Amino acid sequence: MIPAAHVAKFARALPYWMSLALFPLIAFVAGQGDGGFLQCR
Amino acid sequence: MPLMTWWLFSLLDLAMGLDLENADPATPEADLFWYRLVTLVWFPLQLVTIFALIHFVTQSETLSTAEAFGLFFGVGVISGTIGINYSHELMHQSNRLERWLADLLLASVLYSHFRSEHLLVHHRYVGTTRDPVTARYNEGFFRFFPRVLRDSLISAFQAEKAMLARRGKAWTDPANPFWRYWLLQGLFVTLAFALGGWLGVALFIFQAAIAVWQLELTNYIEHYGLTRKHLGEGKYEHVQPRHSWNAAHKASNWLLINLQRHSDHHYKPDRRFPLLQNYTEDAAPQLPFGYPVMTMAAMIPPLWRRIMNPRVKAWRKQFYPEISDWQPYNKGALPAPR
Repeated sequence: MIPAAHVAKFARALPYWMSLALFPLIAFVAGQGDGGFLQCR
Repeated sequence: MPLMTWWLFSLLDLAMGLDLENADPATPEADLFWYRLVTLVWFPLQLVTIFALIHFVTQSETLSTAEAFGLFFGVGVISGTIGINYSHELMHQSNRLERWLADLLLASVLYSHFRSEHLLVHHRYVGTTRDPVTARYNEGFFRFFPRVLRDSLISAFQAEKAMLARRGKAWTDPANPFWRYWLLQGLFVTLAFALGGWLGVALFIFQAAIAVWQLELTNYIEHYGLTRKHLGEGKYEHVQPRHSWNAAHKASNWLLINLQRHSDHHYKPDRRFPLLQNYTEDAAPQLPFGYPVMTMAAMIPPLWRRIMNPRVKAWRKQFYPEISDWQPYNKGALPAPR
């Protein structure tokens, strides 16, 4: 079981993790259109 | 991607306002685990992103060259805005893992010497003519940028060379970190070539150039027009909170891990980002917007001067009413600090 105090500490730090959202975003951008690499074979 | 980091965070700053709260600077290291972790996991993620994209983009038969470079523009914004910023946090720490991660992050944008320049030159000589990255009053970004690219490389190398000389060693000694810089950068360029040929190398260099541009935009903003008082004969007052521009905007401080609490960073360079303190306007100058808006303004020099020059003049009146002739400060004509 994860102690509540640990969860609270993580929750406080969470906003600083938002930069990680950039990775799926760039993968999404890369996959757009008929030239996106996600479609390439 | 630039829309994400620049416009979105400008809007978020507008919506979320300021964060003026200060954490207890004596918070034990153990309580900062989740904050530190984001800076520790960044390098492997960035590395995989850059090189996986080089591999896939150069294998793709349908992706145009322009699309590939457009994509790597976005990669450069990430590796500059976040990667170099995190490397900055890591390079100030004393443990080997964090310092290595900083070096690896900087090598991935071909700007390894930033570590030497920042630690040995910038922090020591900020606000004086000896610090290349303190932007002078009225100096536009497009004049600042090439000057900094040239001077910071020279000053970083000279600083390492001088430090080795004090220990009786030549610059060619293996202890010179420039060997490590060149080796790591060479490895990454080789990897780019192995995965994507010359196009892979071009894309890698392109994202690095975008990242360095992002970094130097930030450097430009952080100390624009702020100078330490010359006390005569190459002596300068100590660095104070007033010698950095700050922004307390909540969202961009999340993105930039409190880089905008810049005065406190110069006061305590190794203080971890969650513990950096805000200063009031009485002690430290405040920017009207967060760095995302200010970097966009810096790209339009007349707009930048219109926003910032009156603020620099007000800063001079507030903190240095006794100085009447600012020309030597404006021109960078004062003697270099000893």
